[in-house]
Amino acid sequence: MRWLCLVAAVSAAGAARAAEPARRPKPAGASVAAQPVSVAPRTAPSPPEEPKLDNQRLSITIYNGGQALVQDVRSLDLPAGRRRIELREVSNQIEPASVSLAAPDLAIVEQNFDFDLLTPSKLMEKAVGKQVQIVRTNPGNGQQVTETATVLAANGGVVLKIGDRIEVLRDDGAPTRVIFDGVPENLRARPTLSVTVDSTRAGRRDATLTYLTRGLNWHADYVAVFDEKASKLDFQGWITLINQTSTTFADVKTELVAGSPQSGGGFNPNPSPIRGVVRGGGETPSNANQVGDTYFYPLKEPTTIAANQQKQVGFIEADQVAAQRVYQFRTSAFQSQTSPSHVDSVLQFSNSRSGGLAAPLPAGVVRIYMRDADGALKLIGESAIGHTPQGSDLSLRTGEAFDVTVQPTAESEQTLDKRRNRHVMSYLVRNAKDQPVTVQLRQGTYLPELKVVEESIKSRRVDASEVEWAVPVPAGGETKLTFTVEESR
Amino acid sequence: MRARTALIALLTAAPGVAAAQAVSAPVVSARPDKVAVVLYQDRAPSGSYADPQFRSADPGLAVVSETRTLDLPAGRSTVSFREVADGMVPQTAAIEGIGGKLVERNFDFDLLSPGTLIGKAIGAPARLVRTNPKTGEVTEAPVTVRSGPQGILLQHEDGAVEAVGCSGLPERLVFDAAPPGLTATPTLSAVVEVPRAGRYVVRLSYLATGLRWSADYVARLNVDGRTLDLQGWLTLSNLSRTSFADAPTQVVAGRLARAGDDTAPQAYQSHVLKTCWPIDFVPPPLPLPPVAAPAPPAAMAMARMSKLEEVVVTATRATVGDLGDYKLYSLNEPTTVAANQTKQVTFLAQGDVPYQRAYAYVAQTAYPGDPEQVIPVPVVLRIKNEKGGKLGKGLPGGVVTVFEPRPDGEPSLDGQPRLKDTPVGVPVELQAGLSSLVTVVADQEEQSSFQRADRTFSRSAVALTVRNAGAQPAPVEIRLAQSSFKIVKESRPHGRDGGFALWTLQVPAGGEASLSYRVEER
Repeated sequence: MRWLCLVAAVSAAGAARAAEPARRPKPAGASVAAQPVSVAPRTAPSPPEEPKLDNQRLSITIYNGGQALVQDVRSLDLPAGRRRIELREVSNQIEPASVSLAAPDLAIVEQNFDFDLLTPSKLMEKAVGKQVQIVRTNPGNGQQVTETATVLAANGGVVLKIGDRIEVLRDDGAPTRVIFDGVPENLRARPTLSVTVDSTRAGRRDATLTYLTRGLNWHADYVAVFDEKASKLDFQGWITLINQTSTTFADVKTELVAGSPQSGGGFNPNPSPIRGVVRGGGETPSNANQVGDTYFYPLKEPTTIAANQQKQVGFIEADQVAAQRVYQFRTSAFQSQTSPSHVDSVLQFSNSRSGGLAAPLPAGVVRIYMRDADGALKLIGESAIGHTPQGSDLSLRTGEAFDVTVQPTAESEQTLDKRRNRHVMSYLVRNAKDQPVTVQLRQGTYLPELKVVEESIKSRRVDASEVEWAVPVPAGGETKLTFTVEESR
Repeated sequence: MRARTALIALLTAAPGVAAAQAVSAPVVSARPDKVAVVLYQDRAPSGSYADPQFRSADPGLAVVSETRTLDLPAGRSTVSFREVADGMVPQTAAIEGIGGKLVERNFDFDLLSPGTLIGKAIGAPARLVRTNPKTGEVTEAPVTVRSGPQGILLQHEDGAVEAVGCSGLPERLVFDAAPPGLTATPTLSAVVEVPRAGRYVVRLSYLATGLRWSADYVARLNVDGRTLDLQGWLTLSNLSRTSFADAPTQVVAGRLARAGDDTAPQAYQSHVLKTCWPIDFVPPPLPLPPVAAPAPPAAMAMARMSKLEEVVVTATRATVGDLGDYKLYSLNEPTTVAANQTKQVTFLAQGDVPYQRAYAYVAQTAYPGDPEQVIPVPVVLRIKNEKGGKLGKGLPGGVVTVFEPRPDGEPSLDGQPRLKDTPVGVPVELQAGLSSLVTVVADQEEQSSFQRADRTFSRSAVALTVRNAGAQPAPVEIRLAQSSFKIVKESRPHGRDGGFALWTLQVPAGGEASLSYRVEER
């Protein structure tokens, strides 16, 4: 199937503007409305000239959503007047509606993206009404006989006219070769973009082909090596590029956008909070470019992103980032437990200038390691983070502390009136480690308000419905926290 | 000594040095010199590890650390790391010890397969070899591949075009060389830059799936009725296709937070689809298996489906230490964890651990609508896990198989309760099944409501009869969640256990005991 794509490069041009203002293609291609021509103008019956790829200059902007904007600058030598050109080596997952081609003194008449792939059955369909050579091999004596046949139809079987006989191809099961005298021009081995252009002058010039493609994605992967004794973190960020197209982008200038462009999903007035961040930051970063409300991470060197490849390049390295481990236990229930629960082990650090990690962190997975006595890395947990602005406080849960547990006991529960309930709770915090720990124990409520009436350790209010106690527990010992609270609606 | 990671940000790399420029021939690191593995605990919430359902729910996790020796030329070179574990999660790879600059690393999953062989050969020369089925005559023609792999078309030197696999003749395509850039298995490579040529010993570590361990216990109750022998096994399982020979092995006990995307990118396997023009008598080609999700290799599928895998019990023992907030068990000697093998190593063997048997029943405040139910009472075994006691060890969570001696001395299976991760100081309580000898019959004597401060509260009176059909007197504990209820009347005084009211009844052998209580909502 061949389909005409009306030039609708507005979205591509818009994205290009965001990506690279300096290299934005002239919207000349976009402003030319394609004529709905019934006959595609052909200037030459021979296969059209393919632009030389030697001078190709590629740049790619990759978004998180699996979409990328490709700018492909090629040098085209064109005569004056109309001409059809084929642009090969474009991504096989191109979004045809996003394509635009811009060059000086050039107007686009029509552009087509051919998906009509060359296969044996397509070739046979296109041969209907034409002549082919039939070579039969006699199964009895192995003799070969060549005949000329006309293909009458290819519907659920090929009907041939050989001389004045009508036959079905290989109806007898005998080996039969079919030889075609060529490949029709519009059947292609690979998806190909063909553009009919109208040039006002002859000569070589740079043309910028801009399009969106699927199949390219990126995210960040972080390695955080935690030194507990020093309360420091060595932090590395890697950008992971994934190319699932079957196209290799060689020597391409690459830029990554933290965020995915709005793609027709509508505006969400209640976005979910950024994962892993407890306080969003307000520092202006130094290593990323900001355009609009988005960060761009340019890779310094041109790189080659091969087909079906996952590629990683480093982009952040910061040693000796201040970090601390805290133990947390949160509940909103007022219930006894027959066996203890482990507390969460949480790593806290900041990506602010003062903390030593001054960089915005694009969304990805942070893998937290410790080193053993031999210096080998041992994983202690993983946490996904969202796009994190510079200057944020991060609080990443690494897992459960084996040796630190909390066992809640609901001592009593009383309905005071229609609005208020009173709970007497006790929490037995045990520590089997050989050093003292402090557990941040938070009691919340499903009702709007929580008020402390009595407590064995001084509390800190987190918000209207949550209170926190810092419970110190000696090494190999236990501490019992008891309190009376009133929840009210 | 801390080895510093040699990962230099690309952003700080010298500008103007193109990645593709001056990269010499790839250096192949054929295999690691040494491998060490750290296995993480299985995350099955309950049930036995032997249950394949739980296995498939959790792909497992391990950290593999390899020591490799590389001979690097000065300047930039590409290093291919062969023989990495097949469950490798490539984005987690860390390469340490190069000392120079790590420019980038790549994971290529464009595999050499019949489909990619054709796909990459479009426009390239090939030879079409045909055999005459009768005479056996072999003919060979130089051709150019014009399309594929979804139906292959060739062009002869004279311009004639033919399809492959449509004539009914024995025919095949022959290439002179495999296309470059395709590998047999997904391959990790890194572009590194070192100032001097020489021999470098590097550590490559990465996360891998397909490996995991679980803790399994066997508790044998002794005839004295007061002590048991507890044995703990680390069950190491390798469901991957990679064997780790003579590897220092450690396992981590405790629950790590996981981000859930530790998977290798799907290898790209391309198939050849021999489509032809419609031929009357030939059945239509079968639909292609989805390319994005290749079927697991046969060996692996077999291992998951059946119990073919080998289980090895070794004399190796493990010692325990701390890793941050987890427990790290180190096997005392290097071990071989072979592909599709399960291996068991002792980490605990303690005889004469005192325990207490109790019958623990959690009573309800009301038994509406179903009077006179006969309820079997759960049996619990309680073990004190105190420092200085017989046990006094952190116990990683796992399944405990409890055996009880029969009168003839033969063990009989009591149950397979699951133990949670238990630090020292937290008592161990094992639910060893339901007793068929000790039962409770509950009788709802009254259920009503009353008014207080404009609100309706409920009130309930229950009588419990506990019967013991056994030959020994049974201590029966009855607990009642009482935080929101007040006991206003009871036939015996209750004690407290956590948030529960607790009555302890001694039920004589072949006899019964009763308990009644009346509760009101607070």
